[in-house]
Amino acid sequence: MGTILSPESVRTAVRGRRLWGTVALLAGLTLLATACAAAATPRGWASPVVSQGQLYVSLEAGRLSAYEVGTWRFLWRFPGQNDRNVRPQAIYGAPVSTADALYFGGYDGYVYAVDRAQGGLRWRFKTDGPIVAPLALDEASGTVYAASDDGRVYAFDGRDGSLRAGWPFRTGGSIWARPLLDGNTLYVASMDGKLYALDAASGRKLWEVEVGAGLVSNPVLANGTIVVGAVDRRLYAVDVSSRSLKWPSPPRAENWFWAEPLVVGDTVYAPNLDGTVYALSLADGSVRWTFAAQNPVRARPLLTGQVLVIVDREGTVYGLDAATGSEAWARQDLMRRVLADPTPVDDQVLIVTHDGNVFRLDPTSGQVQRLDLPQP
Amino acid sequence: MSDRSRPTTVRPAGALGRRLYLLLLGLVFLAVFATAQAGRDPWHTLFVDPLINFLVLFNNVLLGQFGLAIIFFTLFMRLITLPLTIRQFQSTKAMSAIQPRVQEIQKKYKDPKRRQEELMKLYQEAGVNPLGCLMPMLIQFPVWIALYRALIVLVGGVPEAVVDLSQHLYPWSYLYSAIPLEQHFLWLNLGRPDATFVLPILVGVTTYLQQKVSTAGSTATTPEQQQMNQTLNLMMPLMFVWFTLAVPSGLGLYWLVSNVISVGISYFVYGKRGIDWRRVLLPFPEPAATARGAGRPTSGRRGDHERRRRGKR
Repeated sequence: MGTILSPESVRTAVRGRRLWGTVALLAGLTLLATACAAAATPRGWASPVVSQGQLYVSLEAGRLSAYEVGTWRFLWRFPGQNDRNVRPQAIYGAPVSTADALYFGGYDGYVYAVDRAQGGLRWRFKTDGPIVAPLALDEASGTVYAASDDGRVYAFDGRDGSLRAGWPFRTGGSIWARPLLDGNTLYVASMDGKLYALDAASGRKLWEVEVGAGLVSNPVLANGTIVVGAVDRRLYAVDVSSRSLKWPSPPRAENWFWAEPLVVGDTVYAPNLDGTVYALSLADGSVRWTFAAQNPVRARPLLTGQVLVIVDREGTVYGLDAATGSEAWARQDLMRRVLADPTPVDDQVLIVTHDGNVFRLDPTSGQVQRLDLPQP
Repeated sequence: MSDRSRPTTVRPAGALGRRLYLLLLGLVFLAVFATAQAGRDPWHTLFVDPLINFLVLFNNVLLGQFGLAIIFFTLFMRLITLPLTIRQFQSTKAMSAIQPRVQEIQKKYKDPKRRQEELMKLYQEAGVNPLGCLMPMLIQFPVWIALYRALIVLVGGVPEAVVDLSQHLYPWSYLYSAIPLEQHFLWLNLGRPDATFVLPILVGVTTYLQQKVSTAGSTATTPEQQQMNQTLNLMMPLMFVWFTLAVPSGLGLYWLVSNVISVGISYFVYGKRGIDWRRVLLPFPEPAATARGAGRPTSGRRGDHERRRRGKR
């Protein structure tokens, strides 16, 4: 038997459909806008580390995995299933390792010490800000140095995580660059625009050099000169013996020198976020050659033989002749974002993309292969 | 006599205003063309990047307090677009004032052509442009999208976002000194969602008030429209509560300030008596309003005013 619909019931049905249509539209817009705005989550750009035949790599935000080099057998992952309250959020600095432990800083502000054999948590220490800078390690004294976004540099006993006497040392700004240890001196590049030299044992300030702009790149020491990039688009050289700026006119680019410079002999290779790779004289900062990449470069350059490997932010890999800056082989496109530094493994180079893929590069031919690491 | 019973007219933009609009539009098109020709992305170069740099400038002027920078920048942007916002509210108010007459015409004339003619005549008499409330909104729309994008780039605070930010900052050392931006403001970490629920609730409450107050000048003429308004009035605040729980609280702070300013502007445009606070604070209008049928005001004091007005006629 058919149903007779009254005009009122038809109107109600239409009204209901419109209403649910509006609700569905609003819900869709909500999801879309949330997805668009949720872009600012930390992922981390720790470069992989190879030590004692093991590879330590962060393939997911806030997790560190260990593999056996060569067989690529999965060993462990930190935090494990039992570490319920451990959430490093993201790992930006490559881990440092001793014979039995790994140390790294998390974006949650903790410094972590992880058992190298099993991947279990040994200790952790909370700083007052996220940790972006890689840690430094003094193997002789077993001291781990960590710089935090809270502007402080901490020194720990690597065995139990206790803070060394006299530490932390406070700078006037955030620290995103790795502390640089040289003998008994720890150099700290801070966003307050100063390079500090500290006594590595006591944490006492020895001297400082005012650069004037926030220091963002990891500093590098070569031939008594510290080279460091700043957010004022300049690359600075500090003469350690005279405790002053070395280059009369520091080279200026179109953007920041965030990538860690590479110093080989008397040449500084410094990629810039404007996409230009600079080869400079360590003596006076004069430009020897430049190379224009397609995209900004944050990853540190790597020299293998005579080939300088550069990886830009959008995953284009370049092999440059270190002497002239000309391309040694055809550029390769990984089609993925890359912010982590490339790592040499035997005669190859490992590149970890921002979405957690690993690629193997043959630096002599420029051939790139994807490395399928087993997941736990 | 209430403000609502007085016929409201909106001063037309006039020839000079129209020329100004056209000139502005022409300049924008020219700039977009020139930027595209130079191989740059016009959207970011002309809209998003200036806002990002301006926001960082505000941050530095306000002693590195990025939360304060967001508040003052929102105030500043609302001030710039104030003439358009006021015009939009006035148009809404004027359209609402002639709604009973629109309804009468719609009932009286069955022939669509004649009905259209009568409606146009009415709009001309009242000095109302039916698209008057739409144009200012459309003009402001790209500005708000650009502002939203600028905030997304800035409030992240995470290193990846700072790498992206480096691509947008102008080569001015005064701007660099702010990097990285201070992400803490009051109890908030501007780069992360507010886990205390205080900000989401505040955003939800102010969105509700803003919805209700900004539509104080408009009248639902049919039950469908009324039901739609009710749904929107409840759904929009819930939607923004959800947004604020999911996005960096710097964006939530922007919505909160923006909502408060919108309520203030509505109060300014509609006047003290133009806003029926009982209607604003009640989530649903009185049920009798629906039964009165189409073409009648929806509730409370406004309904009384309308009845008195009709009685006089």
